[in-house]
Amino acid sequence: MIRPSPDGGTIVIRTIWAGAVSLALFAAPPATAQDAAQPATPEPAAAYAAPDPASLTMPKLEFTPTQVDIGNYDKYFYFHREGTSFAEAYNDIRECDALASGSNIYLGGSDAAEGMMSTYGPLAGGIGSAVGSAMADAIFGSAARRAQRRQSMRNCMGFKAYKRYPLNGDLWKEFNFEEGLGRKKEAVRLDALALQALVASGPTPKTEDLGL
Amino acid sequence: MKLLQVMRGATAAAAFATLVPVAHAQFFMVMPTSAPPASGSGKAIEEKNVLAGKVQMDPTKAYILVNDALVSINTFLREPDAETIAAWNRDRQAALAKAQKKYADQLMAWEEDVAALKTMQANAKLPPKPVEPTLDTVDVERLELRGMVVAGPLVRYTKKDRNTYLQEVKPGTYIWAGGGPTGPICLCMGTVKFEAKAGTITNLGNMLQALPRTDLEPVKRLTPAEIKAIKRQNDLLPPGSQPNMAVPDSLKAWPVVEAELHAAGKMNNLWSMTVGRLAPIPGVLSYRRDTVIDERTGQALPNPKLVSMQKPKI
Repeated sequence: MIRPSPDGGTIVIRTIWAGAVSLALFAAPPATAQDAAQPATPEPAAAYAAPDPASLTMPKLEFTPTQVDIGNYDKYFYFHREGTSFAEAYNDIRECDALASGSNIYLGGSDAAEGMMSTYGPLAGGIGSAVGSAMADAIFGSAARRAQRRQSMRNCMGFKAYKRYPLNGDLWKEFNFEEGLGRKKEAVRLDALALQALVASGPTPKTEDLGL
Repeated sequence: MKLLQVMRGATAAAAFATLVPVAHAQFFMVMPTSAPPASGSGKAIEEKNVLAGKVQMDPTKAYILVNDALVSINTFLREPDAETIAAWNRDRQAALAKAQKKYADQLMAWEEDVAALKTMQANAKLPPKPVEPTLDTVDVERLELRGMVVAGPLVRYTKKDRNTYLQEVKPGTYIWAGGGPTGPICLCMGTVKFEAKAGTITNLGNMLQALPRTDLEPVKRLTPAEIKAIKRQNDLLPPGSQPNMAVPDSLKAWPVVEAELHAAGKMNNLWSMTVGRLAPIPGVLSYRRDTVIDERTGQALPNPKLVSMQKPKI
């Protein structure tokens, strides 16, 4: 099923979003059902010390979706993989978070922007100029960084054969965080990542998965 | 459903080729602040200088040749050899010695501050103690970035019928890191590498665009605009195309070998780009979940857990 995409509302946002989505094309496909049944070899060494799952409380995942919720599934979702231990899920989520965090988009004007002006015409260069300032970065950069982080997590966890399931915004915020222009405190991040791992290794979701 | 069927006809080559417009579209917008100089090491060569005899093959150098229908940019990371690692270690030791000297001064100042504060107020809030530097925390150029080469987009070898890039580099093994530090995608979770030998042009042609294959799962998230963009790319590089390995006539006298691609494992997100990986290449690269498989040997490559390059906020 092809779902309509959210509209960024401006050319700048839209361009970034489209680029991020296209990454899925460039990237290899997510692991197939066969992959899911066949554990990767060799088993990766545990790099992250997981907390005791008994100390964590499973977040609430059940909700009655509204049209608004359905329109926001690109933002609000959780991961789950069958037959995965908490320690495995924690390792996977920490690694994907490490790769995805600190998105370093800078919407600045540059020589490259000028090059694009001559190569691709004034529209492309014009957009570059339009966002070619720190102020533009402050306005649009945060959203772009958040979108990039979401996309990176989806790609990375998809490669690891996790599936993506729907949530609404309120439930999502209980055990997730977004990072735009700044980085969350480490304790906040680690608490949220532990809960995400608990969910990812928890009971089988009752809803259909959302695809990559 | 109709759109889905359209996309079922799009093979990896076509889908993969979307990298080019995506990279270009974002080129002016995505400028990682921590990116190294776009030129990297190596030297871009122009055909006019070869024809004029200003540039001749240096038998101690290697050469990488790439072509593309569009203007393109490719980043290659030279696999560190013993010499590079030794230089990196020397730099780290020197940086550590400098940092330790600075740390000693900072520590002394901190101790004086703390003593003074305690004298003034018993429950004074104390400043954080300076952190002792280690080899892993000193600020030197990362090992992976030493010997990085960026081919394109500006200095082209030829640009009439087709864009060709010829880059003079230090001989060694080069990992394809994707569309460059200004591009939007990190091939963090799997890519390819090849050897570039001295006194030889290693010709990649457009195999980095033509060879990777993907399936249709990501189609679920395509918009009509993206489907249109892919169709346009299909026209440029039809699905199942053989790589274009054309060599400009002006280089016919230079020794040329086709690049032999091998699977390359995971790497850190060096420029904080969106996380991705190269689509599988039959006989070269495949995956079991996130484990990279070298299809030439059938063996899984090491799959260490990557850790964050970001400084934690306490």
